[in-house]
Amino acid sequence: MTELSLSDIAASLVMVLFTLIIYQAFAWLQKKFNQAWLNPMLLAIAVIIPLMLYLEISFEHYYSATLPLSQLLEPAVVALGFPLYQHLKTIRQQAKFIIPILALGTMIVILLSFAMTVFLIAIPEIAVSLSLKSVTTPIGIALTEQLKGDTSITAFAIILAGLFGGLLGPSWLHFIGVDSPKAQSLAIGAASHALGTASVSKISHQHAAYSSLALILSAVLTAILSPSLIIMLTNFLTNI
Amino acid sequence: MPAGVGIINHYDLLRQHGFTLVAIIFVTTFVLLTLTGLAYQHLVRKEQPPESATNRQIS
Repeated sequence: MTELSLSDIAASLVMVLFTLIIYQAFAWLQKKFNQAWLNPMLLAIAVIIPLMLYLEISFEHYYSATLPLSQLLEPAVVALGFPLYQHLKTIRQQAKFIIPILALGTMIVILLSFAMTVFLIAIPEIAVSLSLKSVTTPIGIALTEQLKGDTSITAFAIILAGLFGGLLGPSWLHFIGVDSPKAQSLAIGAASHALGTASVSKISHQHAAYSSLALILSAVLTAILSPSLIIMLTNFLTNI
Repeated sequence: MPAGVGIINHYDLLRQHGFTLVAIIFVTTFVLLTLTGLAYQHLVRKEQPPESATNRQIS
């Protein structure tokens, strides 16, 4: 019995270390080549999945072995308070514009994502996951768990939303006539969270500040608004 | 990240609905970009008209 748990601990350690090493290696690569598409989370997942299939490790086994890593998401949510504090001055000055815009935008897109998924795919858990894809990973995953969505679909959707907005956002916004740097970075922070913020932060400090401001405020607004909105939508569906 | 690896259990879902899934994410992300960008630019311009616009009004 003791032997079994010892080998469990060893296996768990190996998987945690392996996950961290792969992630760090891709993070280093991204830093070196400075390309948004070299997303360490996406690439690490792309390496781990074939490996697990090859070694015949089930997802449940991997997930329980690496549980300490998943639990780190909770302190990561608390850590978001720091940039919020850094931007307090800007938030006070511009609150009357930024908060209503982000609140409205967030609600419209939650409704739209939920409705599109229900009509096209018709699986409620997936609809919950896709509704929560515009926020930063720790908040998105926490809300998905709370609202009975599917956390792995949420994680996947969050990365894609980040890549779409981070890579194509600036040229799309130019194309539709949104030229002000503040408006551009606000939009990208709201739609593409940390990934979008990382890619526009290279342009200027102002871009970095407005994008991370939008990322934090939309995360907070989503955390406040999405539970009642999604519960309402789910109830509405079951009553039809 | 461990949550992302869970996509492994959704092979059937991705094969059946993968394209729709990605399309929904794509469309709604661009809707949010467009709404936020246009709304903020519009409101800020209305509040503080750019220099050139004010000058034109005076002359």
